[in-house]
Amino acid sequence: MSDIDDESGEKPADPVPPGTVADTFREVLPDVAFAAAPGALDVILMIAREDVPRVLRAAKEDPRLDFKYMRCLSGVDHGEQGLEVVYQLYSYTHKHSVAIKARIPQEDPRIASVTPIWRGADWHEREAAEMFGIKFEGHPNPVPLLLPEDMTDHHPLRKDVPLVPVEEWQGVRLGPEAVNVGHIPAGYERLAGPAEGGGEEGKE
Amino acid sequence: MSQLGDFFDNVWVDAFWRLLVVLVLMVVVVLVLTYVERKVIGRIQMRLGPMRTGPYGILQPIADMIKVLLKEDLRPATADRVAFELAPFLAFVPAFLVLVAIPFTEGWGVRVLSLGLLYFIAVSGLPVLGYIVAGWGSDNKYALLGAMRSAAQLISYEVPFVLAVLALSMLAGSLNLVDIVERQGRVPFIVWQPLGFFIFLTCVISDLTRRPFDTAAAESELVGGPWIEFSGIRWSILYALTEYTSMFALTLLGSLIFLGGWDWPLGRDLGWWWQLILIFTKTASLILFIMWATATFPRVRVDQLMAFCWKLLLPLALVQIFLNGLILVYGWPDWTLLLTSGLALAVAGYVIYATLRVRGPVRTIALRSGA
Amino acid sequence: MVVEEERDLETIDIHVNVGPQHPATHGVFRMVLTVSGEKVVDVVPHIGYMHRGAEKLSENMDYRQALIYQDRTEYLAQFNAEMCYVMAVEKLAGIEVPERAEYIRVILAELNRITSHYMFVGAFATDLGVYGTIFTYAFREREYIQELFESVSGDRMMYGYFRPGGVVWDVSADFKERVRWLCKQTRVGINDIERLLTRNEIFVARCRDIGAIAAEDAIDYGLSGPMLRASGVPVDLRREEPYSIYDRFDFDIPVGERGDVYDRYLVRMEEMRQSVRIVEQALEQMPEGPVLPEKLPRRLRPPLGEVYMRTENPRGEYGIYLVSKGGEKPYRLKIRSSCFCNLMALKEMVVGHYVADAVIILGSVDIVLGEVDR
Repeated sequence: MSDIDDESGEKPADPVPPGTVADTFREVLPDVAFAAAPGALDVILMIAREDVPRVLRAAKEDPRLDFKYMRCLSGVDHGEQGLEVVYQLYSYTHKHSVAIKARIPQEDPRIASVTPIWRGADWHEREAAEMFGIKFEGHPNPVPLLLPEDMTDHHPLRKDVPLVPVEEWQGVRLGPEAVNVGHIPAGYERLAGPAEGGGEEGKE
Repeated sequence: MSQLGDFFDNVWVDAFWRLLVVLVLMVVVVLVLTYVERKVIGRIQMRLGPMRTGPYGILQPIADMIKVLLKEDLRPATADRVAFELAPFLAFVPAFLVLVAIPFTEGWGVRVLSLGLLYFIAVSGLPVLGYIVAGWGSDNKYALLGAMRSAAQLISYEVPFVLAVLALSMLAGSLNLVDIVERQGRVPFIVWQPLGFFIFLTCVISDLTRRPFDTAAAESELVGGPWIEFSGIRWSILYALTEYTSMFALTLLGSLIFLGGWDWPLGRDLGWWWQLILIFTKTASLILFIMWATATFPRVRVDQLMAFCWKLLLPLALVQIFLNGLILVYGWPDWTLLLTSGLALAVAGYVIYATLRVRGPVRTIALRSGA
Repeated sequence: MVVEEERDLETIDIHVNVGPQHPATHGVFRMVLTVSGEKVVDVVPHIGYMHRGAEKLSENMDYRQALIYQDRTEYLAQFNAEMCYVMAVEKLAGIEVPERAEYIRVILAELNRITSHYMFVGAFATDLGVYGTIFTYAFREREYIQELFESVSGDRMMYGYFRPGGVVWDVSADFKERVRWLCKQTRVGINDIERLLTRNEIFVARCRDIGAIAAEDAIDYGLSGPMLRASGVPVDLRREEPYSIYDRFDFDIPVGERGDVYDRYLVRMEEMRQSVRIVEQALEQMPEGPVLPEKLPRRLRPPLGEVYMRTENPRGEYGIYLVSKGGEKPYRLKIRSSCFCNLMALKEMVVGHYVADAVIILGSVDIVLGEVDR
């Protein structure tokens, strides 16, 4: 659990002191529900995933916000509470920074892509897509980046994919146990163990 | 006209043994140069170079030769057999043939040709054929592209080379290499033709495809150039033999026609041993200069290479010929040669400097503490 | 009547594959250039050859153990990466760092910036074809600093010297003298290399106006560090969002004009000099004292929270996004690596130039594949 509650907008008062960028956001987009919280270095704003394209476009283009620099886009897996996409933004002109988060459910992990807004979001989204299984709609080239191009059904950074010790190395079994990780890439079926029907995948 | 003494009565036997001497000399020189290059470049790069094979690594060239001879001779199955096997020789044989026309001392050379300089220039342009045939015969598109680039570079740089040498022969009034050396007398031609010397040296470095002009070999599509498919002794014929033989031959020519050869400072007085020392010292200093340039400069890009040749060197060479012609026709004294040629060289240097001049370092923004 | 016939010249674009084994020393990186004649019309970079799952592995280690992945990720500027990570943990856990440790960290981080830029100059000159002369000079200078790092941390490459709260042990008694000597020697070393390269006509001709990127595009792509400063944006995170004790030092930020390869080279060389300045000032100000706080918990359990800590690494902005759910291990550790973001702009910079320039532009981005792929 993070210290941002999911019941965004239902809190009576923000713990964020006035005069921060959260107020500017509310001013620019009065009809969007923001749940603000102070983070260790930035203000954290929680929004609904449908608002993501509007909010982020306004963040870049509105002169009061002017977040021309998107520093980082991460995916986080919160288990039953869903996946989360975190955008870290910074403005060189106003010298303020913000972290915008949007939760998406595990069963339907789609969210709008911000690559049309910042070209620098391209590879971050590809990486989040392959590591978490998030589908970024509108991304120009949704091909796995760090993982092999054909590994589209296995998402290593999810919490339900455990980190297992390597027991297979180039087809030679090293340990007595083989843990089924649920995915065998095409062509590696011969590594599958006899009883469980699963096999090792080696290091992710 | 000087005569070279005959050591044997039979002309053929005499020629044969002279050729043999030159051949042995060439092989020795190539071995020495491979070693010297590695040591010199190593020292410039603050490392020692070969040290293990023999004391101070002097047996390194022998080790290299043995390794190269024992390598597997690979030939692509689809390569044109005749072209593939002929190419290294097409490149190497002319490089050796030029040594036939060079007078090593006043009285010794393989042959004195009255058109020695012309022979030299003509034959030294032949290795281009070897490059093209190598590229074509390899059945590899990258080799072909590399060959085209090498050919373009070599042919382009022949033109200012020939013109600079021609300008010099206008001064000497002869194409006979012995005459040119003797005409220099007390003052070597480099003093009268600094511009010509600059053009000559640049074209020599380019003809050897050494840095800064080694674009063809090093970066043709980021692969090795026209000789990619060659290995073992074939490759070594090209790389070691041709390159070092050409280097030796071209720097010999440079020291003969520009630096006074075996004659200056006191060649004719002191005898053949002094002449040999002189000529080899001058050749060695030119070779060391070329190696120094190789170790220090970055590579020039292909289009910059061509632009440099056609837009700078060629007009300069024509200017040199024109100046020489003017001075000879009007019979002006020799020092006008130095003046005009030196001035043209200074102008050329300034042009190069000015087009690439850096306007200074980047601006810095000072930040004080506590700000 | 003259009938003009238009004949279409059929040209085929060639795909040139550069990598994954590179002639230049950048690591396993592959780019597929589509070349029409001599000019590049498209670049597709392929990364991931060095992906080792540092983020996933860090989730399974506790906070002290996860530090080692920072070294292995950014293996040319290790102290800078470690610094970012330990500061992220300190911000979450609320740990105060003693003064002496802060100064030691800054000195080592700046010296590491210098070694990283030496490595850049060596590799970059080799890309250009200088065939190793600059490389050996740069590595000789770098070796002096490496010896200091080895004496401080015990390791030549994977230091693991910083800890959340400070540094693991104090430096030796001759540290100050050695660093003073290093500052003098580094100035000489930088001058040696600059004398050989900066005004060399061939170098300038190869690097001027190659791979230029405008300031707005640079910000849009998320570039940072020397690449951003070379494009004219005067931003340095050590001043923009000061962290650690950087606001106590005077130093300049070099800013370029055109964002081409030459400006990036000049910016990095000047940064080395500024780092020497910082180190000298830090040496003057460094107090005695402990290097770890007395009350450091044996098991670090930062409270619930998250932080995005960013520092100015030699290659740009290095960020650690750390989410803690109160356990001993990080819940999510995302590494925002500078080269990963800088590489995104590769296509923009390379298209329209020659093939030979593509190698130079890649060299000027100064990538570390460990950081790109993690």
